[in-house]
Amino acid sequence: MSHLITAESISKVFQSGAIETKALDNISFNLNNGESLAITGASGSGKSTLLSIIGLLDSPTSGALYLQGQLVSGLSNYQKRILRNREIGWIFQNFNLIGHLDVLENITLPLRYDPRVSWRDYENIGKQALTSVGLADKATALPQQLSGGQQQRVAIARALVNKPSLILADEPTGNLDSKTSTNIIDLLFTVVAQGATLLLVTHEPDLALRCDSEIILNDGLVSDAKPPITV
Amino acid sequence: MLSHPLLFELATEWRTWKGQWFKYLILLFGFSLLAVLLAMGLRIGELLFIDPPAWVNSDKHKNLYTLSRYHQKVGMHGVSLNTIEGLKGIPGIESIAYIAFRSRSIKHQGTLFDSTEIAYFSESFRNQISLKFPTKEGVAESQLAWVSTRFFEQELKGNPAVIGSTIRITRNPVPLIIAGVLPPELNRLGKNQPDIWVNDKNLRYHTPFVAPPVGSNNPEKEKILNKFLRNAPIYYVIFALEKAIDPAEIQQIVAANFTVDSAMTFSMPGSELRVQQGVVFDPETKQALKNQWLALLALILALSIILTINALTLFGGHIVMHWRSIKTKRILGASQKSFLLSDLWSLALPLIFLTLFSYVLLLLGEKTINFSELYKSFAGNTRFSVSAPIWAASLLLTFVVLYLSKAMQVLNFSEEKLFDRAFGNSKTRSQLLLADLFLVIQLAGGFLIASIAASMALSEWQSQSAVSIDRSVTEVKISYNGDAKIPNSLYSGRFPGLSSIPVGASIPGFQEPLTASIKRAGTKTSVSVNAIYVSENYFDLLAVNKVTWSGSWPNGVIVSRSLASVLAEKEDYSDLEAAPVAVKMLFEKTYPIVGVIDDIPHFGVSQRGDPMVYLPISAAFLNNNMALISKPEHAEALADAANLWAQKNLLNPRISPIESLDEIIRQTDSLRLGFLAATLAVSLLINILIFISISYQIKSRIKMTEHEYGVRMVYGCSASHLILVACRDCFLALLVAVPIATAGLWWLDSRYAQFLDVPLLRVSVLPPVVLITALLILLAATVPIASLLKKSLFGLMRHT
Repeated sequence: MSHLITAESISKVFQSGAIETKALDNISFNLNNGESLAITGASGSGKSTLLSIIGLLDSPTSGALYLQGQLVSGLSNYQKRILRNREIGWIFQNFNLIGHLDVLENITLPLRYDPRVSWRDYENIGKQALTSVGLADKATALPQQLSGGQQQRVAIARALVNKPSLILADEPTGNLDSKTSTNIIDLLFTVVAQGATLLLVTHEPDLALRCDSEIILNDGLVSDAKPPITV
Repeated sequence: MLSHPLLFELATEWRTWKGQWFKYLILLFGFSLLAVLLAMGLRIGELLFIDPPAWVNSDKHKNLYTLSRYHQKVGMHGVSLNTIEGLKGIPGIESIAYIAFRSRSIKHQGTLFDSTEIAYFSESFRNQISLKFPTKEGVAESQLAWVSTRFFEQELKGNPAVIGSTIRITRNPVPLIIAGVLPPELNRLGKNQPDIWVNDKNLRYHTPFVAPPVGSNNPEKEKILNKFLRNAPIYYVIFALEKAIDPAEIQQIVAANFTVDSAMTFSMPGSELRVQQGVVFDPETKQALKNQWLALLALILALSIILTINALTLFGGHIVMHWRSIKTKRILGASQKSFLLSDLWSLALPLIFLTLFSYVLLLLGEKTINFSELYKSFAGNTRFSVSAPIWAASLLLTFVVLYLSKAMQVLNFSEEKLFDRAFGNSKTRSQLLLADLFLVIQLAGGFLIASIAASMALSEWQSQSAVSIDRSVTEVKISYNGDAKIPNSLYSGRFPGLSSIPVGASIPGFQEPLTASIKRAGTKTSVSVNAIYVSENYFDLLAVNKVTWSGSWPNGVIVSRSLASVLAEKEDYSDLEAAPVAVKMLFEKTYPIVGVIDDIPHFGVSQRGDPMVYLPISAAFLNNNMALISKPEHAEALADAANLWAQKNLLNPRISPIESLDEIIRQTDSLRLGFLAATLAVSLLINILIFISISYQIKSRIKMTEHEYGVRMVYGCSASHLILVACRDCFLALLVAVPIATAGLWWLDSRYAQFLDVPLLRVSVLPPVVLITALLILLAATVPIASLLKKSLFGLMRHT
């Protein structure tokens, strides 16, 4: 099985004036296509920083990250943007839906930044994604008119609309009640079952248990991994 | 769902400005105004520096010049034929044409037309102009006359039958045949509005000598006539050169060749020869228009700076409000190109507004300019209109500035880090400095223009209130040929046949004083003054304030306060009482000063300080016009009586319509009042724009630091303290802006106040303007703080 992600000795240092803060220290792991990985750890342990580096929102201070075998540090901003648009689906704790766009418009947003997709197809593709998360009747609603669970479903539909190979979820159930959380997690794992790769950041042990593997971070270091990390 | 990118961007743009459209519209209105001012500025520049008057044949002659004489007080006037001869020494001269204007009475089919303006043109003049003169076969040009469109329509009632009929010009023994109507472009040449055009051979009948018809055998008379016509300085000359030559060089050659026949000196002291590039019949008007054009350019520059900063802050604030959307879009793969395209699409609707607003403003602007006397004097009947390409170019340029202002802010924000815990707050030091610099520029600009407008308004108000005459008094002017014997009863304020009505008289009219010089006995220096002959009761009728009054009037002269200040050695003018002064007009005569009065605005309110001397009307001589003044209720009766009396006692009298002094003064002041009104309007618009921009800036700064406000509120910060926190940056910027703006005001005032004839800095207006600005800043902060106070504290704290 080929590695979708290979992280080699990833470190990240934040600098604020003369003060240096090491957020990640020498992190290495592999993630294969179709697998799911949970990153857990206490607050401030570096989970979101690691996710943002894998999701191409930030760059590591040192180390190498490979996505689909490509060394990310060698990519231009343009190439990173294309990868983000076509290969990565982001799901955030606070949903990050755009308030002045309706549900369907939010979902079709990634399509608008992909020149391969004709504008005539936006509506059909968007509706399919919306149907897949069970919100076909909410196409014209504004995000603020939906419940938290529904908003996260919309965010999942938006993450899936370009059929990415990697789904990154940053505490996807952090803002939801337990019943809604279960539904959202079920939905996410249904997507994984269809062949997508999932990397999620979570505080919840139950959720981590449902993943194929888990990395536990502590002060930027890998304190434990299940199963043990192989690079 | 709107899938098409254009429609999608339009719809989403509309939604993001929800509740803010008024601000956006005001900004667009400002940009529309800028586009229109730019288009009009370009067109006026074209008129001033490129286009010749519509009637000039510029295709035939590329290098045209105007030769005339110029006098500081009288303005442009003609040169003699002898002077024109001097032009022949200029290398590469292609053609010389000249024209003279004279006022005469004419008779047409039994109807007498008084004071008809006649243009006498040389044969070559017709070649210089691009318009065709209708001719009549078999009739010599000297026996033809052409009527202007205005005269044809207004006086001849547009009757086509007049063509081919004859007219007779006073003293001209030969009747002239009307050959046709000239195009409207020839209705006006500079200040001259000729009614009838005739060949210059007819000038021979309008000298002080009686001329026999052309061809009569009287060599002696012909010699005198020719000599007079050669030396009379009445011709305005247009000449064309093969190659352009510096006007100063031509001037030197003409001056060197200048000759005068013996005993034929018509010199006017202080008058000098002047050669001007292009066809210039009214240099004062051209200069006045040029001054206004320069003021317009300064306004365009100021407005474009203010509007660009305004747009940058408005769009910057808008982006701060929507930074999360931008970040999300970037995470989802939006590129800079897609942001730029999105901005372009989203401006489609504003472009429509911009076009509509600017079209309406352009129509208004064109109409205003076409109504303006200054423009009419300059361009005559040529309508002011901005061509579509100039308008489109100005609109495009404005749109580009608007687009760049929007795009720059998006690009600026799209460079932000995608992963940063302090995203949205992570302004760099240079960004913050730039924002503060914009704030200072806006506040300084707003403060400067508001102070100028307030200073001008205050000065105008003070000038108007300082005028103590009764402006309702009316004036009727009578002009006539030759000299008139003034009825003795008028000296004391009674008009023949109207003994019950107090009537004042002056020679000449209220607005047309004569020039004189005055010298106190025993001193050497004389003062150049304006003089007017008035009746005994003139000052009582005007209800003018008498500063000193000996009671000996009219046995002496009255001087205005401004003249008294020059002549007197004591502050209370007591040394002027009965002081003899020599007044020199055509002759010098000594009079005692018998009173000092407040300044009367003969030349408008702002020029009321021009020194004046008032002489008794009994001393007037060689007059050909007089003015009668009365209270408004007696105006009609006086006009009727004056008409009757004039028909009986004067040669060829013409009576003007009744006008109040208020109307006369307002007409004189109209340019300045118009300038004041325009300054107030522009100041208001710019300050509204700045207020909107600053309020939006404060709002976006509050939005950016909502969490900080939340923390302050948790710890019990009061609403007033929050408002002060929100205003802090603006108040600091105001502290910096006020000294900068004051220095700018001082510089502008010292450099341009005299040139514009208005004070630009009055120290007394500065404190109220500072106070109002501070209050407006407080108001701008109060609204967003009030809406912040309505939000839940929990929400504010969570929203990091």
